[in-house]
Amino acid sequence: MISVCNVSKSFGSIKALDNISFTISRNEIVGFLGPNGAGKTTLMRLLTGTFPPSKGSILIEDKNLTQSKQIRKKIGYLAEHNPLYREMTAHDFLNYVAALKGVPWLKRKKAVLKVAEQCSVASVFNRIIGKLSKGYQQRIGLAQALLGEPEVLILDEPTNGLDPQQIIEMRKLVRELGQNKTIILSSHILHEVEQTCGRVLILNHSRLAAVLELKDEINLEEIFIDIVTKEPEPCPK
Amino acid sequence: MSKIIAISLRDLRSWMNNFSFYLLAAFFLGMTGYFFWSGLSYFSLVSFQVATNPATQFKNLNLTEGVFSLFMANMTVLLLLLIPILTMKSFTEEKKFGTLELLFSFPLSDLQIVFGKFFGLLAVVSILILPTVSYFFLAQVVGAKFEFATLLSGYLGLILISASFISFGMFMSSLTEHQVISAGIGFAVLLFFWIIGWVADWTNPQLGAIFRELSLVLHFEDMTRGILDTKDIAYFVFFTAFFLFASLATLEIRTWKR
Repeated sequence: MISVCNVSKSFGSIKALDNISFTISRNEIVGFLGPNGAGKTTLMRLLTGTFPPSKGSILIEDKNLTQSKQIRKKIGYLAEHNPLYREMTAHDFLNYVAALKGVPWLKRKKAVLKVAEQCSVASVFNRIIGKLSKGYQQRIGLAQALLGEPEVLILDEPTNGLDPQQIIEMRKLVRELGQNKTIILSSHILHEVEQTCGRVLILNHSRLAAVLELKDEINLEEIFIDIVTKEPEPCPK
Repeated sequence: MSKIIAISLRDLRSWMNNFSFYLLAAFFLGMTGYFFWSGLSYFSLVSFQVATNPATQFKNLNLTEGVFSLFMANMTVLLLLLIPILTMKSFTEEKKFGTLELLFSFPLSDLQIVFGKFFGLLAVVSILILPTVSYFFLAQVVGAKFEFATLLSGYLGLILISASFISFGMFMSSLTEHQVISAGIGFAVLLFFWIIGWVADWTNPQLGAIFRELSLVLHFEDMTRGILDTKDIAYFVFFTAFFLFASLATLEIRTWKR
């Protein structure tokens, strides 16, 4: 479904990602783990087509992401810090996103209602987003990502700022969605990744440090600490 | 096209739901109302003097030159002040709140984003300008009949010059994350394009010709007299297209491979 081949990304002299390769199968839930500055958000932005890689390619269903805007229809994105138009009502915002994602006018009302029910935001439909709780705002962010029925969901720290109850609900929702969607989520929280994902990619110092299948016998915490406490390998000259 | 309309409508609604828009509109309509009334009153006084004393120096006294052109020039100065305020948040706010990243993740082209924002702002400015048309109907009550074709050409010029201001303001907004810087520099540069024609007459002829061609006000003047010249229309169209393209290029920088 997704194939990332030798991808590097630099911002001026700063190398944010260095020669990363992996593949993700359909209906898989994959977690990106890594300390701050490891390159998780940059990798997610590359996967949503926000900007192209400096080197390498990203293929979604064998089509190059940077060469076709239409592939973005297959992607739903919940960005870090959940950007929303805070002065809009939840209903207007979701309608707006549906229009931008190319949902036909006649099907828009139904599509908006569907995602609102899926994310339990129908009760706050006519309220101003900026006045809603963080939990509702996060759900609206997820609802906009679900609009247009994307096959791939990219969630950048989806439980960021939520209370424990909301975190549990969000994880449950992600697992449910993972039954018929490919999900990529990033997190700082090991426990969250362990509970939600089938596979984890650990990023450290802009490189892909490990790819782990999450099985019972794996001690993720131990492996993670072992990786992030290692000094970075010097770049080959 | 539907995506451009969606972005335009969102921006338009955002301004319509913003109290500061109504403050700006009240200021604009108050000032333009005053300019129109004072212009018409002065014209009426001068006309009376001419009628009672035929020896006066006023020749070719007409409503177009005496009231309409002057009113349009004053209204444009007001728009020069107000449009940078309207455009300052077009991209800066999207960048500040991260919603531009959201737009980039949708199946949208950068051109659709730029056009959507441009037409949204053009609609906001048109809503601001539209009520001033009523002044000319009200003037008919006191017997001041303006030529319809002149009104049409003047308002077309006003929309074209507003489009130029908007495209430049949007470009400034795409360059920075600070609204005040966007509005401040936008106003300063537009003012430069406004006053550059003033020096055209007392500088050397070659330089003067260039200044004259660059001047926003000199291209606008004829339109307020009912003269539609393709050269003037082309100037505003190119000015607008150039700065819309500049905004587009600013957005596209992120897609360059580095």
